[in-house]
Formats: sequence, structure tokens, C-alpha cells
Amino acid sequence: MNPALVHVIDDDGAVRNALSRLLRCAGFEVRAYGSAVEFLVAERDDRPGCVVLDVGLPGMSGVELQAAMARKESSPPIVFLTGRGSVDMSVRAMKAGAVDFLTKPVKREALLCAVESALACDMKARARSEQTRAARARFEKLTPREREVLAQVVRGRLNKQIADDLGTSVRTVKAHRAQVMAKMEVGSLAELVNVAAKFRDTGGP
Amino acid sequence: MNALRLGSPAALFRYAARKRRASHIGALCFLVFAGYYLGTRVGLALTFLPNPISVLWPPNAILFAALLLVPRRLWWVVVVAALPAHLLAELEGGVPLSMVLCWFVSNVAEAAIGALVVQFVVSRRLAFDRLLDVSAFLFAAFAAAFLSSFLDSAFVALIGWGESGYWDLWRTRLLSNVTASVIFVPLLVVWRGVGLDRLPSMRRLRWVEIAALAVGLFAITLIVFDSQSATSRAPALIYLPLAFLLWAALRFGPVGATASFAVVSVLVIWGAGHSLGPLGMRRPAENAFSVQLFLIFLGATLLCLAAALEERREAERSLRASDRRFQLVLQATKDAVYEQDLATDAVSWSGSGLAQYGYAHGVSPRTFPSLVDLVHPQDKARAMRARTAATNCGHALWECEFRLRRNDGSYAHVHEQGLIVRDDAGRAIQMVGALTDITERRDADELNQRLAHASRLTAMGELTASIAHEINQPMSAILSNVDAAEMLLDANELDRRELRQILSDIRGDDLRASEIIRHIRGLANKRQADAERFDVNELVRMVLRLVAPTVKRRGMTLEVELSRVPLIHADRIHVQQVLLNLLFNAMDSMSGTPEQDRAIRVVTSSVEPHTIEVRVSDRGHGIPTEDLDRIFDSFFTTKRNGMGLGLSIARSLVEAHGGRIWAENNTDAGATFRFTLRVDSRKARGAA
Repeated sequence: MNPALVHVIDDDGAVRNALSRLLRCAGFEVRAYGSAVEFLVAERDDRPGCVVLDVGLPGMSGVELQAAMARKESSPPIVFLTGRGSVDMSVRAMKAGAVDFLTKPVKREALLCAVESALACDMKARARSEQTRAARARFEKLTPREREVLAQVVRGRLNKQIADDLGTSVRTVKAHRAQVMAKMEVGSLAELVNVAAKFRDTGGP
Repeated sequence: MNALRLGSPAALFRYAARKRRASHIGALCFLVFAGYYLGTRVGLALTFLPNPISVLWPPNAILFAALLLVPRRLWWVVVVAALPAHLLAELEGGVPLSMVLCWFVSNVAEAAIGALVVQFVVSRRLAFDRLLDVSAFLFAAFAAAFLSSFLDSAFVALIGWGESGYWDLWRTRLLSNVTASVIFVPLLVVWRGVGLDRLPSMRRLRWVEIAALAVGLFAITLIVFDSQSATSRAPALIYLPLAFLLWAALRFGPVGATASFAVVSVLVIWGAGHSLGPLGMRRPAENAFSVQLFLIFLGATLLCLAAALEERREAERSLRASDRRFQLVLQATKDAVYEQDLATDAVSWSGSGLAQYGYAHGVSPRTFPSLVDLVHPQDKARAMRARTAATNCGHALWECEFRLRRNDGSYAHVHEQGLIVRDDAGRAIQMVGALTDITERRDADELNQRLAHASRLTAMGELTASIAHEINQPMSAILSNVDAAEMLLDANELDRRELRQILSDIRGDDLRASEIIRHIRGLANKRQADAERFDVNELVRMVLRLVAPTVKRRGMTLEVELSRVPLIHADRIHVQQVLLNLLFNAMDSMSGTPEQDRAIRVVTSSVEPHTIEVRVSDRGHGIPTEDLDRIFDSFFTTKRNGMGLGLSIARSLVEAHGGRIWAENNTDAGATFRFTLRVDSRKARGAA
């Protein structure tokens, strides 16, 4: 398995090297950047990972980078580091989705723990988005009629009501429904509702 | 032809001045001539017949007055102008020329003696408006007549004119000349100074009064001294004109007194000469004698009275003027000023009293205890102490600050400045105090101070934050490197190269951190030590003056005990900084001390041959024993707003001078901070 990738962004070379070295010793693959811009323009393969980010970067600050990354489709979770712990800054960062907010000098356990949980976060997010992507692919296979039926079904309507709405027989509706279940690869109504909910968030029906 | 010589303006000016002077001298000659001649005629007219006895001899008095009125460099003009008048008048009476000339000599001698004596005693121009003027004049007039009469009688005896004996002549001339002087010299001198231009502006009522006075004086004097009526024989009637003379002196001063006295004198002499009135009842010689005595004493008394009155009027005028100025000043400063009689404790207020504190004019305290009642209870003891101390120590002034209760119950901050009035024995008899409302000024002060403190804290806060950040970076790198090394050691195979790299990085970070620290230290020591020779006592006094307002505002007192100490060679600013830090520390420690106990004591002494010691004691909360060693450490503080730097800075400054600083708790209350300084810090550094 590919080792997890940790991006270290800190303007202070000594700190950057030390952090990278520590993370490498802990078994992570590390890429280091001296500034936010350097990180943004770097070529990135779509590997699971996380970012260890200094808040007080010159130029584009850590929090600004966080905002820029949030606009992208998929972005690795962030562990913030700061030289001076200020409460309001950490609150803002955490609200914006940071995994952790650590003060320098940072203890090994705290850093590794935060990186682990950030990676776990990323794994989960990746799994979730993988499921969504698969569900969407299956959804694409449905005919327009089947999509209409699916929409009604997940809203909890009865076959008869659906038949009335669509101007067709209950039998036909039942057939469509079985087709939908098969194409979406689910075994129960509950599963179907669950899958539908996942990609409704990402712009589904 | 004159125009040719008068080319320049200066010459023209000199010419004009000369011309003006010439015309002045001409007028003077004429006046002296006319006055002298007229005086002679009057003197002759007022002789008592049948034996010609001159009661009054005015020419000498006129000469005397003329010498008083003109500057000494023009005396010769007066003498020259008087001579023809004298010759003219005397030769008409068939007196031999030698006798006439001798008389002139004795007359001039009399006038000159009189004028010289007056000018010797009275430095300014004679004006008969002070008792000194009058007494000097009376003495001079008597002395002049007294001395010159010896000469005059001697001349007469020498030339053998007339039949009178030497002493008769001497006595007659003395009295008649003194009489004439008393009547005419004051009249001429005083009236010479009357500004006629002021007359039109006089009120009508004044004119009426003058007319009434003149008419009354004339009528009464004529009735009493110049009529045959039976009533005029009553001797006591001679006092009747006195009422009018007093009126004149009282209402018109020396001007009125001299004029009305002259009128009375002439009428009295004329009446007595014609055997009329109470002074004309005996033989002419006796009449003349009593008239002279009467007039001399009456005139002298009247002149004294008029002068005394004038002096008093002048004093009142200047008192009124100064009082008016005082009131203006009071209005301008808005101070409330009171006078306290220490015998009765009664208090009287100037101006509007305590109106600005809400007490209507009648409600301001009337006794000192009720004024003290308005002082804030916490300030009372201190304010009274300042006052008592000033009174007992023989000071003339005191000042203190306290809170004064307004009528609405709120308190105003008041600064009191007082003057202690003492009698000849040095006992305080009266206090004059001025209360200034400084509430606003004080509030502004306090606000400023708080702002200054806050901004200092902010600046310090920012500085420390950026220092912290700078040092934090290498520290952080070091920690991560150590962690990494530890993990490498835990791993199975030892990567020596990596470990070596880590150690080298740690060294680099460490050096970087100490570089930053050295840089900061460099900033703090940027100011080069600037040693000079100075007196520590003088520095202490200067610093205490600097902090005195703050000490006073915080309700504290300062006690100072400065011994003779040698001059030291050190950085004055550094020593000053140490002292200031200790003083502010002492003040801060006493914020919880009851106000009457808040005292700071500063003592200097010479402890070893080449060391002096400065002690700053407070009566504050003291220092916990376990903290005594730590209070000079950086960032150790017990104050809520303290940075914990003041004492550590003080220590480094003192130690830089080869001295020592330490603290101890007092046995009763508070703490004492002591520091020593080498007399010559250069030697200390050299030895260290």
C-alpha cells in the first residue's frame, strides 16, 4: 500500500526540515513547501494525505490557504501549527474544518496523533466520495421513467399514488421499481433511500 | 543771521529750549520781584501803630517758598530778582543803603537755611500731604528764623539803626518771620501744585460747598476778630473760626487748609492791629505777641491735621485700589480665599466664598472647625498635619491637596495654598488660604497616566510577543529534531549520517536562538553608559521633585534624610532610573495602606570608605520571605499590571556600577530596598 502523504508548509526552513524529518521517521511520506503558493502550484497526484500548515505564513497566510483549498472539489484535511496560540484564530480555523490546531514547539505525540487522525479523516472522506461516485454511476444507468419512479419512492409514496401521478398502472410501477433496485444494486428500500441521500447532497435528484 | 547757525534740527531744538528757558527765567524774575515787593507792602501795612511793630514779615517767607519751588541751580535768579524789590521797598522808607543791604543778606540767609533744611529732610518735593513734610517744614522755618535773626540783630546793632535792644529785635524778628513762614510758605507751595485744569470738572455741589465755606469763614472771622460788638470781647470766641478751618482741612486737604488759614491770619492781624477783637485789647506789643503765638500754633496744628488726613486718604485710596486688584485677581482665578483668625477660629471669605462648591454666599462656613468638617474624612488628618507642621516650623507658606465636600455631597479635589501671618514674636496669628478646584486637572492627569501605562503595556506586550515568536521558531525546530532522533534510535538500524545531520541542525537552531537573545540584549544596552561625577543627594532631591506630584496625589508623604556623602562617578541616568523604579515600587506597595500611614522614606549614607548606600523604605504590604530572593528576577511580579522588569532592570543597572541591591522587610511594616554604589565605578569595573 502507498504510504500516506503529508504536506508540510512552513516558511521557516529549520522548522520545515525538522518536522519533515520527524514525520518521515514516523513512516509517512513527506513533501515540504516554503509557502502557500508553492503548495498550490505543486503537481499533486490524487493520493490520500493531509497538510501540516503554519498559520503565520508570509504572503498568503495559512487560514487564507485553507479557504482557497475549501473551494476545490477534494482537499486534504489540515493540521494547523502556530507560534503564538490565539484563541479566536484557532476557533476560526477549526470552524473552517481544520482537524487540529497545535502550538509550537509541538510535541511529537500531539503532532503524530493529529496527523493520524487527519489521515483517517481523509480516508473516510475518500471512501465516502468513492461510494457517492459509484452510486452516481449507477444512477446514470436509469431511464428517465425509472428516475421519476425513484424520486417518488424515496419520498415515501405508495405504488398506487405513483401510478396515479404518472398515469400508468400499479403493475408497471412495480416493474420499474424492481428495475431501479436492481440497477442501483440495493436490496431494500432503506438502502435505496440511503444511497439516494448521498448523491442528493452532491447535486443528484 | 541766527538762521545761519541753526542749520541742524538738534541746534534748532537747543535754541528753542534755550528760548523757553529764558522766558521761564523772565517769568520767575517777575514773580519773585512782584511777590517780594508786595510782601514788603503787606508787612508794612500790617504793622501795629502807633509803635511800628511788624507782626508779620512776608518777604522772607516768599523768598523761602521761591527757593523751595525752583531747582537749586536757579536760586541765584530768585536772589537777583528779589534784590531790586527789596531796595525799592526799603529805600522808600528812608533807611540807609548799608542797613538795607544787610537786611537783604540776613533775609536771603534765612530763606536759604530753611530751604536747605527742608530739602535735607524731605527727599522728594515738599507737598504738605505727609506729617513728615509738615514737621520738617516747621522745624526748618523755626531754625531758619532762629539762626538768621542773630545775624539780623547784629547788623542793626553794628550800623546803629533804631533804638531797640539786640534781644528785643531778635525776638520780634524771630516771631514775625516764623509767623509769615507758617502762613505763606505752605500756601504758596501747596497752591503752586494745584492743577487749575481740574477745576472745570468739579461738581456743582463742590463749588457750593467752597462758596459756603468761604462766606462762613469770612463772616465768622470778621465778626469775631474785626468788630467792636460786645460779644467779640469774650476770649473763647477765638475758637469760632476753628470750625471752618477744620472743615477746610477735612474736606479740601492742605489746599483748603492753607488758603483758609491765610484768610483768617490776615483778618486776625488786621483786627488786632486796629485794636478790634479778642486779640486787640492790650498794648500793641502784647497784642502782636499773642497774635503771633496764636497764628503759629493754629497754623502748625492745622497743617499737621491736613497732612495726616491727606496721608490717611492716600492710604485708603491705595488700599481700595489694591483691594480692587485683589478682587479682580480672585475673579480671574476662581479661587476661594479665606482668612482665619487663629485667636477666634473665625473664618471670613473673600468674593463669593465657596459658591463654586454649591454653598451660597451666606452658607460658606464661618468658623474653621466647620470648614474642616467639609474635608474628606480620609484626608482630614493629612491636611491638618501639613498645616500644623508649617505653622510649628515657622514657615510662611503651606500647601496641600485634599477632597472637599460640595453642598450636593460629592467631593471636589482641592489644592490649598496658604499664607501664615505672624506677629513680631513669630507667633502665627492669622492664616490666609486659597482653595483651587483641581478636580478636572486631576481627572485628566489620572486618565493620561492610565493611558500611558496602557500604551506602555501594549508596547511591551507586542515587543515580548515578537521576541517570543523569534525564539520559538528555533526552539520548535530543536524539539522536532530531538523527537526525530529519538525515533531513529528506536529503529533497528542506526542511520548515523542522519543522526549527525540532526545534531548539526540542532546546533544551528541553538546558535540562532542565542543570536536572537544577544540581539535583544544589545537593544536594551544600546545607550552607552555615560559616567560623570555628581552628588547623589542632589540627584535624590531632583528625583523626589519629579515624583512629588504623584506622591501627593496618591495621598502619601515623603521623608528624606540625606547625610553628607562623597561625590560619585557613575551614570547619572542609570542611578536616577534605579531610584525611580524603587520609588514607584514603594508607592505601588502602599495602595492598600491606610492613607495616614502612607509614607516613603529615602535615606542616603556613606557605609564604607568608598561606598555609599541609598535606602527607600515604604510602609506597604512587605515581601513574603520566600520571595525575597526572587523579586529581582526578570518577570517575577506580584503586581496585577506589573511586567516584573522594574527591579530586574534596577539590579542590572546597580551591578553594572559595581554596586549591590537587596531588599528586607521592616520590623514594623513595609519593606526597605537598599542599594550601594561605588564612589568610583570605573575602579570597580577594573577590579571585576
